[in-house]
Amino acid sequence: MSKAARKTLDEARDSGNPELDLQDKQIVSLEELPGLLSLEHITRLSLPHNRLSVVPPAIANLINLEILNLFNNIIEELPTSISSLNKLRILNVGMNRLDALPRGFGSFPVLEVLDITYNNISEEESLPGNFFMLESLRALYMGDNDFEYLSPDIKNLKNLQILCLRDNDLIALPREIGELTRLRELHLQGNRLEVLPPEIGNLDLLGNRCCLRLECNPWVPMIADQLLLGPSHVIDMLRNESYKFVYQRHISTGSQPPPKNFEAKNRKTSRKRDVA
Amino acid sequence: MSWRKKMLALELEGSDLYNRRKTGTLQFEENNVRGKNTSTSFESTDLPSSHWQVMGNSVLMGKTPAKASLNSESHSHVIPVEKNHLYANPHCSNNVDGSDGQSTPVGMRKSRPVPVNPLPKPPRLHGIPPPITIPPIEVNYVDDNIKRLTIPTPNLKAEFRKQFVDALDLKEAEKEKPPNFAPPESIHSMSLSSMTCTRCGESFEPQEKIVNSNGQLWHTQCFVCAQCFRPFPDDIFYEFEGRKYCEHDFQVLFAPCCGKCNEFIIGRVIKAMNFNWHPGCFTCELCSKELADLGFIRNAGRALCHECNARVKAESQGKYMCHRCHATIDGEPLRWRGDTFHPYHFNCAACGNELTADAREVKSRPGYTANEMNELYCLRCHDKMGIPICGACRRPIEERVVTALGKHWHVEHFVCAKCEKPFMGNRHYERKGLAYCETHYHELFGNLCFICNTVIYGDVVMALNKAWCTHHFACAVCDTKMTQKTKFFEFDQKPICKKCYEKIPQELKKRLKKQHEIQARGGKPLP
Ligand SMILES: [Zn+2]
Ligand SMILES: [Zn+2]
Ligand SMILES: [Zn+2]
Ligand SMILES: [Zn+2]
Ligand SMILES: [Zn+2]
Ligand SMILES: [Zn+2]
Ligand SMILES: [Zn+2]
Ligand SMILES: [Zn+2]
Repeated sequence: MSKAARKTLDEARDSGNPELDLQDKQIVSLEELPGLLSLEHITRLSLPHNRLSVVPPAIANLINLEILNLFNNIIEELPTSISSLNKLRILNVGMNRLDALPRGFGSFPVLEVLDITYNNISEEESLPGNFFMLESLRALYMGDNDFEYLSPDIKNLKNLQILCLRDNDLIALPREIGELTRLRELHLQGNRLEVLPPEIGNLDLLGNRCCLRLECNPWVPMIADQLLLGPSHVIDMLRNESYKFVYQRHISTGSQPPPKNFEAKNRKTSRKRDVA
Repeated sequence: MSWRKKMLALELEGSDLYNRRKTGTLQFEENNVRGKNTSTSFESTDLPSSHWQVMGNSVLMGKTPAKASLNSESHSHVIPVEKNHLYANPHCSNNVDGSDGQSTPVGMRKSRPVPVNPLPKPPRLHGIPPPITIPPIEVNYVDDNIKRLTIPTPNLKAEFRKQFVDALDLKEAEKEKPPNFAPPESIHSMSLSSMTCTRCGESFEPQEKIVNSNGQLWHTQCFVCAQCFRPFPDDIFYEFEGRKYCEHDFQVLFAPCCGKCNEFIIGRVIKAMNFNWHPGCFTCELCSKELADLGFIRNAGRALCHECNARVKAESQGKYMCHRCHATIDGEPLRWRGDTFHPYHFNCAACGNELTADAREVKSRPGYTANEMNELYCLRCHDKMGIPICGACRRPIEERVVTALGKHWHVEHFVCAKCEKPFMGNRHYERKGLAYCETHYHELFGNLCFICNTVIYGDVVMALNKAWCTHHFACAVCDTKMTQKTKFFEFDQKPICKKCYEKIPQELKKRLKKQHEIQARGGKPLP
């Protein structure tokens, strides 16, 4: 391990600074950083842009952690102990090689922001059973993954304000998404969606602090036409009875879903190990 | 030196206390208690008895002499006796079974009626005539038939012992003794033979300690509570109708309970509202004033003082009470210095005309405490003075004027629209014609930080539809702090620094870029 990392660690130990920045230090394993996992006082641990492949279960020793950032490593698996970090509010494990989240992951008591962007996670057997019990979540970033469906249990995430599903393989969205009344950012671009549940029309996604991304989906003409005029026209149309009829007919016919964009997905660095 | 205790005979007929007392009294037929030792020693002194107050027909005694106003002449004498000395004699304690109040003392026949129910019967109304026009207040003062007696203080004891010894013409004069009692070595045995115990009639043994109470002599084992036959705890006893009781039995037998605190009442008893009360416990239900000397008025089952009663009466009619004449105000009241009045009690401070209810109170002398110098003006004179009107209470502002939201306000009436606390000169925030304190303005309209999720006070960084505390604004990928001036890139509507943007895989950057272009075209594919 690099001298720089050891120096940062020593400083953290001596100064009592509760925020530890160890970005871009070519760290391969946390075992290279003796004593790191006994720094109980730290509230933020940032390890982005390293070469970590394993997160040791002892990460749970850092009982005061509020922010844990592991963005851009090569982690394939998270320890189940991670969800015992009772103070963790922000967890960023984006840009890793995760196929799944560990068992019991949904038991974080105060998790507010979860970022699993750019991994290989899909809904089947990738999300633990209690995932949608993360009621404290206000932002869920899961762009660049492999979801084809989203569980109707999404409705349990009552406090969700931001839901990013950019560049997945989504074929359909559950109607229950319309129950997320606090939602003000919805990123749906780059999926295989043809229709939107009319319940999305109940959400307030058009205010000045809102964001609705719909592009790069094989929309039915009724939606595509309105999108040309802007997302607000799409929302207006979802509230029409005529659209509800189109939607109902579309989901009951069970037509073949549009194909996956394998080519684009296989370029993801999160799959390099498969390619290599 | 008084050798006889005076007992005041009282008229007790009709008093439930009397009945309780009668049945509660222990009758001694005879007593045969006998002391073993012959040597005598005593101390005694003149002690003013506790003080008695007599009125009506309850019988109780004042616990503290200082409180008493009617001081009886009755004096008592207690001999002996510090407890230790009196009861240290092993022979004495064997003679009386003092361990159990229910058991019969050795050699003593006992007739011990059970006390009647100690709960007071509803008292009859009598005593002092009711004050003014009010329903009767019954204030019964306590009589003087019972004495509370205590052991003398050491120096008094010494003095008395000397007198006593002199009177007996003893050969050996007493020398100076330590302040605590110690038995004189000997008293002439010839005088002993002529002395007998008041209770059992037997003589005393040489060396035996003798109790002298009021000149009556007792074996120590005979000098016990008439009810429980135990020695008197703390050397305090009560005498009633010639019998002595320990404090506990005396209270159980004779003292009424207070309707408020439920404690025994020793001393002045107030009978009112069908209960007995300590004077300090019988108070106005509204203002807590003591009513014993003021008189009271029964109002809907409550005891009230005159003023509270007048006010309650006025309020129940939807009216105010005049604080000058205490009568109900039928028309509009005049408000002055925080109270209500008949307007006709006042004249305008300027023109002298009799005032009506629309008169105005003017705080004319800044620097005086609130109310102190307030004057009243008729409306005409008041309007000539050109005083601004408060936007909240619509009344004139004589002191500091706050001007905000296009209106004038009393300092204390210019308040936060949420918490209603006055700003008192602190900064306020205006929004849609309302004013808010800093806390509530931010709570209602402020920004929550994307990182700490709390209201942001002070400077805010706004970007990508989100807000940050300045110290929480950082790259969403590497957590490196950024400022408002830092160049950043958008990634899923989060800010990321240039270094992190460069580390993002090329293929992802291409996709994101393409999506942005298509978004700008309303979703239409690129040509
Ligand atoms: Zn007793
Ligand atoms: Zn009381
Ligand atoms: Zn009162
Ligand atoms: Zn009056
Ligand atoms: Zn006012
Ligand atoms: Zn306020
Ligand atoms: Zn913050
Ligand atoms: Zn960065």
